[in-house]
Amino acid sequence: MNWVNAIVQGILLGGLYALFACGLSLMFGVMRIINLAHGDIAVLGAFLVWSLTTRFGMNPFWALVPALPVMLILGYVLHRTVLARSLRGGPLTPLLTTFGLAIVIQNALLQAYNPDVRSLGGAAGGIATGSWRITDQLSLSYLGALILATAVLVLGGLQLMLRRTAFGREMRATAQDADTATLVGVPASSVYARATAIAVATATLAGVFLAVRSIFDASSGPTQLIFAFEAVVIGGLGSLWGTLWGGMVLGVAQTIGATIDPQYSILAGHLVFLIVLASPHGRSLLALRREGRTT
Amino acid sequence: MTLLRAENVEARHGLLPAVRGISFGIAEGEVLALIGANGAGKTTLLRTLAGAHPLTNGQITYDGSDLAGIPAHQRVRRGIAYVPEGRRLFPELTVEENLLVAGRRAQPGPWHLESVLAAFPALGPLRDRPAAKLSGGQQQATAIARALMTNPRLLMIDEVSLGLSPKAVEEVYACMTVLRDSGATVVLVEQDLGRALSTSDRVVCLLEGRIVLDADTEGLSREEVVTAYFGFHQARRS
Repeated sequence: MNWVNAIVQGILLGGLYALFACGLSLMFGVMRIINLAHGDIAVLGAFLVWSLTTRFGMNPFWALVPALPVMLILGYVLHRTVLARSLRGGPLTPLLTTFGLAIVIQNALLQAYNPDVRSLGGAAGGIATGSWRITDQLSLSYLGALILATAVLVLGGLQLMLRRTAFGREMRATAQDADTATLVGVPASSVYARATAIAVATATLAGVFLAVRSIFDASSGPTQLIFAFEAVVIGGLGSLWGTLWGGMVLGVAQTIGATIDPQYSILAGHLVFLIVLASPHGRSLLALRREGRTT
Repeated sequence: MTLLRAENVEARHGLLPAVRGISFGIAEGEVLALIGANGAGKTTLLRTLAGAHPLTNGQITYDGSDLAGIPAHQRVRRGIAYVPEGRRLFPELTVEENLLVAGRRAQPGPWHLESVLAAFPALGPLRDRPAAKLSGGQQQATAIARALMTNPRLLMIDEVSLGLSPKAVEEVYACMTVLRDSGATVVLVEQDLGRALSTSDRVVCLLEGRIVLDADTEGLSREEVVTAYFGFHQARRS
């Protein structure tokens, strides 16, 4: 039963990783940018919600109502002011730009909030601690189920948006050939800015769930970026449903590793990532990216 | 009435001049064939007019207003459509999705999904097929249909028949008849001189980035065109 519990908890944890990864996947799929500040943006969102929660005594989930539009706008402005220029500088410039942005965000958060660790778990009420007891050795936490359901909804919603809406069509067209998209009247830069806005909003959602589930501080971003990146690669670069799958594989690997020995938890996730990267599947994914395939 | 006028247009690839001080105009409703050997500057000229390539020098006026600083997607909304060389469809989008992407921000006009599919009946059964799975001729027809979805006043088609089978070329030129009947102003780049002369009202021939022939097709001999095309001597008529 320990193994069953490990797999179930891994799937629930995978929901969080998928939520972290979907914005990264979207930005890579549409713009070919690996946003190295993605984890720090998630933590920035968590700090924004933490500020609203402590100042106004709000439940963190209610605090998401004002925080998400703020982060959407921030994402849009971020692209218009920083990323759009760096995209014109070739493939390496956005990497350097987002790396710099990550450092700026971390230091700004340290300056504004100090290095103390904090959590939103206490403010979230019973949902952060409650669970359904299935058997003596298996239980499902409310929060884990909520995170997984949110991940499925967000990824499903994004997939639906990409497949069924006019904006989604524009986004897929721009992802496939931005130059030609502009030649049929699509403002590629505006499409990119909206994709960035969505990615930043989903990162915020993930950051808040992380903050409710455990602890966070100004330097939590890079670790989450690594997990998100691993989930994206395992699931297939730029594929949204693949990202959910990748998050679950990573989560299950970590919980099974922890069941064997607690110190193997993170290592097991990294090993699965490396195995996938070295496998024919991983090599074919990288080849697909070179051919310009997208979501 | 002149719909588009280029005055001393220059464009470069890096330091290499590709278009050197070209001046010409296109009248509304005219079908103009742009011909020239490989590297003559035809594609660069069209891309510059479409806003996809930077203008180094000169001026482009369209419908009386200067196009300087206007990006490609806004030129499309003003009625300038460009079908790029190699069709450049969105390969994973279906035929219908390729058309709808172009139609979303178009000016109101006669062309919409149903009218375009009626004008190109061969595309109707293919509307749910990904563009990557179309034949060359079907792709070119879709590319022209996609450009029509923007309700253009000026349609520029690069390398109309390049890489197509003879049957596909026939299909594509059937599309050209639709364009001519609709009264559209068309600039087409065509390597097949016979096709170019029979389809167009006027021929402009480029050689090494300069216009060496600008003449009405009526009364123009094939020898004059070939002479200009290969640069045996520079001829200019109007």
